[in-house]
Amino acid sequence: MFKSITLRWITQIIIVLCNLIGLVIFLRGFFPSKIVLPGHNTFSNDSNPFLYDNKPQFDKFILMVVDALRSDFCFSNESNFHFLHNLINNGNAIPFTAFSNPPTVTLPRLKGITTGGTPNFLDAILNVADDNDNSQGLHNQDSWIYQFQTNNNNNNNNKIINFFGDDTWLKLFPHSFNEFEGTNSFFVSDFAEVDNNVTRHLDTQLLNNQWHGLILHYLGLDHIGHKGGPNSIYMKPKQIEMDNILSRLYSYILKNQDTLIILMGDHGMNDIGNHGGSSIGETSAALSLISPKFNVKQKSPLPKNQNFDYYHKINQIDLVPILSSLLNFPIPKNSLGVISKEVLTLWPESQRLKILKENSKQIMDLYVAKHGQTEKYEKWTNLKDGLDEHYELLYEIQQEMTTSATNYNYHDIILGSAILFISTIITIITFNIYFFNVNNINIGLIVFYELFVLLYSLHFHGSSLIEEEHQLWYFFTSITLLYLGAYYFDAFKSVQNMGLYLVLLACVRIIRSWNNSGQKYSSNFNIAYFLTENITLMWILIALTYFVITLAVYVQGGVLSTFLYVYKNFTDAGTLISFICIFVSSTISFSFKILQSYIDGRELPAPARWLLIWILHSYHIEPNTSDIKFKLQEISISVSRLATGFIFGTMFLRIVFGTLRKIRHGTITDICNIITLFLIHQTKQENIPIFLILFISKFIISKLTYKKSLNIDQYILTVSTLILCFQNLTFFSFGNTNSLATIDLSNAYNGVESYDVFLVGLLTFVSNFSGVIFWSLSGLQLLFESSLLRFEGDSKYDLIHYPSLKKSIFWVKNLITLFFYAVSVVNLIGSCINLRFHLFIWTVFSPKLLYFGAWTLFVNILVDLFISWIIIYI
Amino acid sequence: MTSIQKRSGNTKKSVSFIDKESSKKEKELSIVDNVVPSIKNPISVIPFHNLIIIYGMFKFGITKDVESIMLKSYITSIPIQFIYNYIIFKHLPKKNSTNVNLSLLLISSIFISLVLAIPLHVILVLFGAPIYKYSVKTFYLSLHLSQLIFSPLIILYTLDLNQFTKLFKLDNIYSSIFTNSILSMVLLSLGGCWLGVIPIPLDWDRPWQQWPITLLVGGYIGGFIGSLISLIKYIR
Repeated sequence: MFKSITLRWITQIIIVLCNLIGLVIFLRGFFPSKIVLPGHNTFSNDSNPFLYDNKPQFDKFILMVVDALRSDFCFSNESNFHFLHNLINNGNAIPFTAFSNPPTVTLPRLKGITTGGTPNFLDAILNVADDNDNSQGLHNQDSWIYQFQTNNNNNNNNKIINFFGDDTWLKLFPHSFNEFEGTNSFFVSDFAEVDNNVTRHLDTQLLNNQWHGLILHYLGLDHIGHKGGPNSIYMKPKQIEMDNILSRLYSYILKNQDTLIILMGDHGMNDIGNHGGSSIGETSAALSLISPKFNVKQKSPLPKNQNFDYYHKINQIDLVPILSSLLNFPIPKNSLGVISKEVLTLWPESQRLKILKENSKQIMDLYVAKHGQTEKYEKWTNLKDGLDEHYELLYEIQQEMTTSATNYNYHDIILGSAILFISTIITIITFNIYFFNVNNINIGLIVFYELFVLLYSLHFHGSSLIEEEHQLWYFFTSITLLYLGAYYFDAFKSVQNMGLYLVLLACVRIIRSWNNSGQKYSSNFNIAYFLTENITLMWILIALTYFVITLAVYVQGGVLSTFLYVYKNFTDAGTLISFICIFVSSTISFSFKILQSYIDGRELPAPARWLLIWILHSYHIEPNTSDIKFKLQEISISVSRLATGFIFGTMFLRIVFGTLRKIRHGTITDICNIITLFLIHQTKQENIPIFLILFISKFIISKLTYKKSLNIDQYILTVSTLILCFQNLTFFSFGNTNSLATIDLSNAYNGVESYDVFLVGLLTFVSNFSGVIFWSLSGLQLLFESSLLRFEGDSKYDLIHYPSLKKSIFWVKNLITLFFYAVSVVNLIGSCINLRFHLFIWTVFSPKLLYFGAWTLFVNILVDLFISWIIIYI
Repeated sequence: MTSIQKRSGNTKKSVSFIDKESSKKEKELSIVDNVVPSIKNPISVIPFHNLIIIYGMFKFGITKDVESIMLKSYITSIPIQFIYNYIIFKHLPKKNSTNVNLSLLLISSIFISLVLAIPLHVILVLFGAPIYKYSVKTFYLSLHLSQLIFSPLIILYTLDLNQFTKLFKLDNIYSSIFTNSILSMVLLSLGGCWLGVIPIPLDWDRPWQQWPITLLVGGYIGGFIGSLISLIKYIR
């Protein structure tokens, strides 16, 4: 189109920025802030329907939230809440399985639990990204916290609520609590301290009795889930601990009979202990109302079942009107909750209908405000005076209003998609003009790539294809390999090539079966599970991976020549220093992994235990002391910092010396290899050996593309296609999915002392996208220094020797990836607009939009463009 | 473009014995005829039995008991395939079918495809078939598939492997495949099996979405369609 490369770059960067801006505007329109009714509710008429014998059922409450308390943890026969089981059997506790509306993350759930509304999807991201952010406060929205505090019949003072636990509450209600202490919910590797920080307040609180409401939010169980899953060895003691706290609270309310205890989980967890999505495990939270005044006898514990079918299944937001009725205050304005039948039986027969009418009046007010006086309203005004009729209508309306989508901001959606659409058209035109004007390129390859992108982008229109995207990538990778094998690699020409090609296929097969991905199939027949069962093999493989990558850092690139220092007798001094730097950093990183496993409560093989004891001794700690966990936390932070420091220090030295000594060849390889060490540092133990396979695959690709680099455009297109396939394949093989539930936080706090949104965000990205980053960097290596990958030393086929071409090579590479992302994003937003009233829009498409945003911003722009640019021009 | 030119260069070298005076078109035709044995009456080798086998498998409840029905249908399909192979043989050109021990060829076609099921299983695994839990099913699939692919090829080439490899050196490999009913049947059996995997991850939750029913259906139907496609040249 235009000959000048600078002009090309300027256009490209404008398109990239347009893509980003368009996506951001689209997201702003797609996830608008929710419209809520302002103001606070009052009783519909002066006669208060909730009073029982002219006084409220309860005066005080204790809300005990146990994060991620799934219903089977409380009610199944494998549960360890034995005290609770007794209460249920005696009729003193009313148990429920409470459906928590996705996204099943703490912040949106707490909003739901307190206001009774269905939260905005964007709350899920705010939950991860919040830091000193006051925009989420609920001070303007009606909630039972507000209603409880201000509705006071006797005097004008506000009632006192004290709060201890997860500091998300403090962000939601910054001025509502009298005494409080918040603990940060993001430090997931701590199981004991977070809960002790809550429990230690109980002594004074239960003694001084200076409150009307007490809210406790325990985080330990959720942390155990994130780290070890629902079957972790820490789960049983934690459940017993929670049960004992419940029994303490119960003995308190035996003396203060006007106090109600609510024990609940804010959400559940899935089979691997994460949450955020909409699977049955994540949405089935436990909920129990406990008081010695109750007498609703039910059998407990119940047999464990896969559907989490324990007792009456209600909606979690039903808690809001239940609390309103029991504690006697108006139901908050935006609540969609319905008072459940079991609770209604606490009042005499004559009062029940009145209570339910109060509930339905409040919901209908909300319904009319949003939808106008429709048929449903007519139906309600003519409703017969029966409990069943009211329940039927209420549940119908609740269902309709909780599942209906929020109001979209069509102005932003149209603007965003228009920008995206135009920039995509320009990208497609540029791509086609460029590639069809290149001489000496196989037209078939271009057509193949375009078909591949088109087919891939079409998958966004099917919800199950998004959920099972890993299958798609496996399919595409094998098609690409088959195509390239026949037309590019010459795999069928010689025995050596055939052998290499088969090994590459085998590598892909192994990568694929490493982890479960997707929503549909989950089995234990995968390598990661096998390795966690065979820890000795796992640690041998981890050690081998560290060894191979370290060796690669040492011999593959230009480290040796950079640090070579010849001065009289000190011939090897430089080599020695580089050797020490590299090996020490990988050893420390390896030790950190051992330490981390120990802290997580995983088993370690004998030699690793010796190493662990040695680490502890070097920090002057006796392995069998009691408060070891707390100290270990500090050590792990310092070890991780040390390892990271060494890794980046080595890289820094390499770059500085390389620049000073003008060593061009090998820089990219060295940086990639050293960063690979850091990526391994940020990866889950059972996934570390994947890097060994990735390393082998990279080696084979470089072998198969031997001497093909001089047909430059064809070479770039081939490498970029392969890299795209491998990036995505690896991403899903690390156990990632397109659901927020699988975001892995276990390595997001390596070396972090306190929560820091930028640092933790960065580490979360690196630990979840480590395979993707690996392939991005490998792409540079393959393009510029593929002879080093083959351990061959300098070769004239390496494109690094053509510095004048650097700019255009990099431009073509980015054009190819931009083409992929641009076509995909247009299809994705097209499908989101098309299916915006679809049932799965919040559970499938919205998370995918967020993931795609991460891919575009972090992978395509940050890594592929920005960091790659730095690496190339260093 | 370079790679294509290179390949055509090779082809010319390998067929240099052909009479240089004959026109170019005739030369190409004779190359194709030499490399790919033509089938005399392609309509009679359309594999209608593929459809019957698929129908039979569903009739006997493959969705309820995948493994045993796959095994039974494989055993049932052996005599059918035997007869079908005989039909193919009868439609081979004279020069290919003389000096061949017919009974030995037919028996070996069944046995060799049985043996080749093992490497085919490995290839299926490399291309993503599950290993641990579904091994038996995958193996039965490779039995079926190997019979669909290898046994017609063995008959077509009368066990002449060299002749078969010449196919890949042809310039116009696709047109020669799609004009030969057996070759296009084999290719589309493979392609159908490959595409057959697509419905499995969809969330329709039907019993026929089990592994490997869709692949099996894809393979059989693909073969049938493939032999139909080869008839197009007669319509023109």
